[in-house]
Formats: sequence, structure tokens, C-alpha cells
Amino acid sequence: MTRLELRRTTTELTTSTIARTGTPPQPIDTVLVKTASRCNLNCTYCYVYNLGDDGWKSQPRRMSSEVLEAIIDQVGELSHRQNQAISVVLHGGEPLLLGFEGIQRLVEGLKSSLRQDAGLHIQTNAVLLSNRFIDLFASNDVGISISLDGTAEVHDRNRVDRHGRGSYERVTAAIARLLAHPSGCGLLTGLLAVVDPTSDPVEVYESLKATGAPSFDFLYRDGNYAHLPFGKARPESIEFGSWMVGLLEHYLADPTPPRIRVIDDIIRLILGGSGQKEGVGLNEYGILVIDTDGKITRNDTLKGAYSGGDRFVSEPSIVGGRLEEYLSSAEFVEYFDLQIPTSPICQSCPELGVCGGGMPAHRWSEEHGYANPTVFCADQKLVIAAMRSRLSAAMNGSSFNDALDRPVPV
Amino acid sequence: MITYETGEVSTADEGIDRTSKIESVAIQRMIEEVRSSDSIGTAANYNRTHNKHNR
Repeated sequence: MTRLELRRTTTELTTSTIARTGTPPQPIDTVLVKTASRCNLNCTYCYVYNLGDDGWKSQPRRMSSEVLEAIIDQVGELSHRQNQAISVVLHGGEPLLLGFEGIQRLVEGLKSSLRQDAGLHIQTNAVLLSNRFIDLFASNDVGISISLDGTAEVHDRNRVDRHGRGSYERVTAAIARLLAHPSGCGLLTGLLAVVDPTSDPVEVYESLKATGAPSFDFLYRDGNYAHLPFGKARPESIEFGSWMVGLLEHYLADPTPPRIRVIDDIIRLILGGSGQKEGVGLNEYGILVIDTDGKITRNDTLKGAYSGGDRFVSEPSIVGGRLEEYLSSAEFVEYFDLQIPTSPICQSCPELGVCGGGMPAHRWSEEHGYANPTVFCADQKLVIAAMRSRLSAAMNGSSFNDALDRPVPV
Repeated sequence: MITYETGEVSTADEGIDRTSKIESVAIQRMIEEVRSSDSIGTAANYNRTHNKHNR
């Protein structure tokens, strides 16, 4: 029985027993808290504002105290009731637009209510990252991830404010301010960059490394078969894959490399380990999103598939609701299963275990829904093949099992 | 063994290390991670907050 077949059987069993046991089908890994629905930047590629979904227009600008208290209470309770360590990520829009008092209440409240091994984290464009915020995050051990696309030229092509002005100088000044803080080095978890396939990957790598950040992650531009990602001419073209191969070659040759999460995950998966984040591999992740009005939604990246693609039909809310009961609902189980790649092309692909079929949002077509390979399938195949080749060459004829001191499977 | 903050490579405390001839630090540390059961505690702050969301 393949893993997918096993998962389907397990899902059927789980679904049939949920009503009886009330047991969540899968623990929650990550709770994304949309503290503010608006952003002080207007990045051209943003999946929240510029890919056709206009759900943000009907959201309050900031989370109310009622929603904040419900999150502190219910997410805290959830963290104690499940075995899996949980991560809470302040997200947006731009999360710091909630304002200092709101962020302080949320961070301090969660610090008290969450289980001790939980992670607190913020994903920010850093333009508003003042020393006051840094002090608050240092006091509460909040990891800070900052969006930065590379060199000033590359970053400012897309990451602009409402007046069309680039944000590079403001962002890099904030990174420098953070690293100058006595606790700053321990707070900066990394940089998050969106790939511009027309840029030079080596220049991007070196510019990110020059900031002193310990790790980077790279995202492809969002898109799908109905709306191709910017910079991708056809589904079978390899603009993003070629860029990533240039990046990985430079990374693998660097004697003092930082970490690149997505490449590390691919290496780990090829070697028989498991990935650590959605987008590659076949791990299924429990990602829960709480929107600014308190509504519980599906993974927000699904906005990029079609308008409202991130919404549950029943519109559950963290306010007055029972979060744990909702996590056992058929609607939530169905959302979890969306991660399973269902395309026949994926199911017969020898690289499925590494690729994982990509992000569900990138599989969408009007004809087949999510039952497609990722629109980046050709890119992924190129990257994985390049990585396999580099690994084999690096091991100089040794098998992966030799390198890993594993017995050869019989 | 690799000291991750500096990238310095040493095999002194590892006995026979079949990865020691691999020049790529990025590859060598991933081999070590997989060999040690996917430990993620390998670099300051790396993934310390368990965030699985890819944005």
C-alpha cells in the first residue's frame, strides 16, 4: 500500500470516528493570526491584495480586544491539549499595524496562556519595527522574520509603498536596528524572499547574507493554471527552476553558508529525511488561520486560487465558538486533505516524495480544481534533478546509505 | 561535526566519518541532520518557532 493509499484509508477511518470521539484529525502546527487586515506596503505580487481576492476590504482594519482575548484563551488551551508543539505567527497585512498596545496584549497574553514549548513569531515587512517593538519581542522571546527580496534594485521593483516608493532602505535599516539590539541576534529568525526570476540569484544570495541573518527562505511568485505566476511564460517553462538551480549551486559552494530552508528541505527529503515546512514533501501540516474579524479560515495562500478560496462555508469564529470542536468537523478534515496531491500525474511521479505536489494554491485550475500538479512542476523537477546530481557528485560514488551510515535496504 | 555558527568542520569526535570528504558544508550538515534523526537544532534560531506556514 502506498503512503497516499494509506493516508486515504486513514482519513476515511478518522472521518468516520470524529463524530464519536471528538478527536481532532491532526494536531495544529501553526496558528496564523491576522492582527491587521491592511498593509503599509503594496507589493505588486501580494496574494492578499493583488491576486484578485478582495476579502480584505470587508475586514476590520485591526483585531478587536474581544478577538485578541478569544485567541489568547482558545489557542492557549489548544496548545495544552495536544502533543504537538504549536507556533503562533503574527501575520497580516502588516501585523505591526495593530499598534503597540494591541501587540503587547496579544504577545504577553499568549506567553502566559501557551504551553512552554510553543513558539511565538512575527512575519513583518519591518518598516514599523521600532526599538519599542524590539524590546517587547525581546522580553517575550518572539522570533522575527523579515521580508526582503535581495538587492535594493530587486527588492524595490515590487516591495513598494502606496506612493510607489521602494522600501529597501527602511527595511535594511530595521534589520540593522534589530541586530544592534542586545537581544537582536537571538530574535532574527531569518529573511523571507520572493523570487524574481529575472534577477541574478548569486547577487540576491550575497545581499541577503550581507545582512547577517542566519537563514533565508525563498518563495515562488503565486499563481496557478488559471493565472500563471508573473515571470512564468508557460506551465512547462522553467524560469523559476533555473533561478533556483543557480541559487543552490552558489549555496552548496559557500564555505560559510547560512541556512536556506527550502533547499535544505529538498536535500533532507532526497536523503530520506522529512521536510519541515509546507510546499515540499508529503508531510501534512496543521495550519490554522484566524482572520482580523476573528473568523477561522483555511490556509490564506488559497486566496491565490480564486476569490474566497480561503473561506470555510460555515464561517466559524474564534469568538464564542469552540475551537477544538471545529477542528473535528468534516469541513476541517476536508481542508486538511486538500494537501494530498490528487493528480494522477503526481501519483505516478517518482519525485512525489520530494516535491509533494507543491502548494495547493499553485495546483488550481478552473477545469480540474486542485487535482493538478503544481504549476511549477517543470521547475521542481529541474531543481530536484539538479540537487540529486550535486549530491551524487559530492558523495563521490558513495551511496546515500553509506553517507548516512544506514544499512542498505534488502 | 560542523560548528554551525562558524561553518567550521571537524571530525575529531565523530570516529570514522564518511561525510568528511564532502566539501559542501550545506550538504554535509544536512547529512548530519538526517543521520541524527532530523534534528533541527542546528543553527541559531533556525526554525525554532516551528512555523510551518510558507509565507
